[in-house]
Amino acid sequence: MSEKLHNIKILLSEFYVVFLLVMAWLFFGIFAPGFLSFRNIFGIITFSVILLAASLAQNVVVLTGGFDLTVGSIISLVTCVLSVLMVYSVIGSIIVAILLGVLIGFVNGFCAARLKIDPFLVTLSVMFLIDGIDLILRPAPGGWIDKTFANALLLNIGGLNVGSIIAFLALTIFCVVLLEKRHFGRLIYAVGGAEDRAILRGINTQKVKMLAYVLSCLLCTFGGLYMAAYVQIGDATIGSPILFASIAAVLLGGTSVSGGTGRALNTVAATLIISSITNFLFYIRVIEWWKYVFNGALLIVVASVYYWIERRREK
Amino acid sequence: MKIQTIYLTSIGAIVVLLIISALFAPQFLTVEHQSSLLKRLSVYGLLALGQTLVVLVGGVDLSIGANMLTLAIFGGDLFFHTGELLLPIIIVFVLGALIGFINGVGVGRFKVPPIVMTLGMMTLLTGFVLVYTGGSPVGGAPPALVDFVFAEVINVPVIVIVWIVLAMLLWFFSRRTTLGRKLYAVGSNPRASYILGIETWKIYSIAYTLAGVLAAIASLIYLGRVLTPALSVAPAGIGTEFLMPSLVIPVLGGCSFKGGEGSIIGALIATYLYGMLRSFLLVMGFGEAGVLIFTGVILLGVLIFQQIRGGRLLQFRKLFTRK
Repeated sequence: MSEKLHNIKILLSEFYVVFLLVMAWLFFGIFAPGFLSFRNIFGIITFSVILLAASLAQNVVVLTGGFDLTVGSIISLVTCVLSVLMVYSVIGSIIVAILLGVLIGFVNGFCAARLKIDPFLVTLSVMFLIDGIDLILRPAPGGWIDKTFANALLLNIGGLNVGSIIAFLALTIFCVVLLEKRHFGRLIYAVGGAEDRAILRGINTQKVKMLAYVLSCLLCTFGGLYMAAYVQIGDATIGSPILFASIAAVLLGGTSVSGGTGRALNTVAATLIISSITNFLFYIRVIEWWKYVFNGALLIVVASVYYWIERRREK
Repeated sequence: MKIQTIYLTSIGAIVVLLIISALFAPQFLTVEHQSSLLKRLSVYGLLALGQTLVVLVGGVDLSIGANMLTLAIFGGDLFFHTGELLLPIIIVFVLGALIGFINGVGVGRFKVPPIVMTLGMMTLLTGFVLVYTGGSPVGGAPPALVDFVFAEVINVPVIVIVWIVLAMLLWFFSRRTTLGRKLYAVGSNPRASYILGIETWKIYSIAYTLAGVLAAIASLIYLGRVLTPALSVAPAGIGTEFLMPSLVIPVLGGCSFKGGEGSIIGALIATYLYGMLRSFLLVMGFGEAGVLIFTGVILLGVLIFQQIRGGRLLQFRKLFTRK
């Protein structure tokens, strides 16, 4: 019996964000009847698939002790590239977008891992660069996205975007399995947790970090494809809000910025919390702007408590 | 020695820019243009000074732009409704300091990572401003403030003098006072500073509070210049257009984001360099996209250059071969 209790305790401390999400949903459900309806929850999940891709991308990099400020810009870049090139070839434009994502990830990873420049600053400069390219490609929102491409991604059946749900589940399973079950995932934790020890163990830490950045950019490219399918135009600034939201989601999910601790499932839950707040405020007809207050306060409070407890534990 | 090299590099870059602009756009070197450039730069310059102080202690303040814009909007509304001059100014200063202090306590006392704390603060301020104003421009600057902002002493705008004098004071503070030296000490090694008996959380609070006060001063100048601050509701948060330069300038000025390295003078020179470069590119017709790309390339270049000087890149070939 006590062993069972102990297990539950561990589960609670490991996945407290998931419980936070359940509590938030129950709370919202009480105050806004209809919030917990199938359709609304479905909508929230559909709505957050792009943010999820960006958050999981951010999570991978933060786990290695880095930072990726390019997530939002890559999503914008993908919409711009698709909207420009799709006229010529649908498949070709997607391949170009993916290749660009890999290239950016490689540049980020090379500068941050090999040259050992502060990742915050590297990705900040690359972000400026991509934003500039975005603006050249699409000075104003516009362009054309293939309808069949959008339908293939969204799979709209009876007003429900089944494709988004599949993408949401696929992203979640991919990241959880990769980080928790595969060798590469364990390497990421090892590099983020104690890099010097990982080096002594013979792990090529630079390679792991570099691959983490490439993976992050690939996930963002995936998010960008969905963004393009949703808005059906190219927009150079559409990704910028996602950057801060993705950082907030990762931090709310309890991933430590010094690297090495954090679960992918918590990031998924945190993403859903952030989307749910927006949805809830819409539901109870409060001005949407309160969501900034909620998100900011939530971030500060959760982070304060989290790091305060962590410091206590160290003592 | 090291810092002097960075001064020389920045000054060299400025000289090169001045020569190029003399060739391509001679109107650049007129007194009027330079004075209006400096006037525009003073807001960015003050924010960059605040950011530099925070970076010196090893932090980063993502809320500095939002702080500035919030105070400008709130202050403008206060001026408009109370009709007084002194009281709103005092309130703006107190609020700026308070926001900075809360950041400092969060970072210093609760050990929240600076990025998390200040990102949360930025989001919070964005929410407050949007809810308070309803998204539309409110308030207005009093004539006295406008007169002050537009006043000139022999072709030199008063606000530029304010900016330079503040920079000098901060330089003196950071280099010649015990408290200022503690900023460097905590920045380069918080643990050792703590063991030596420095109350690190107080140093963090002081740096962040000073950044808040500088944001308050910048907000008053900004308010006087634009009369009614408009909200460009970037969904990420307000004030990001002021935040980004404030992150770029310290790097150009030789600050290390690991803390404990960099100087106020470097930031001051870098502000001018950044402003020159930006307005030069705009005049040459590269547009906002060109400015972004150049900023990114130059930033990366500076960062890689710093690593070369750190000796890590000396054997460049080794980078491309496996260990």
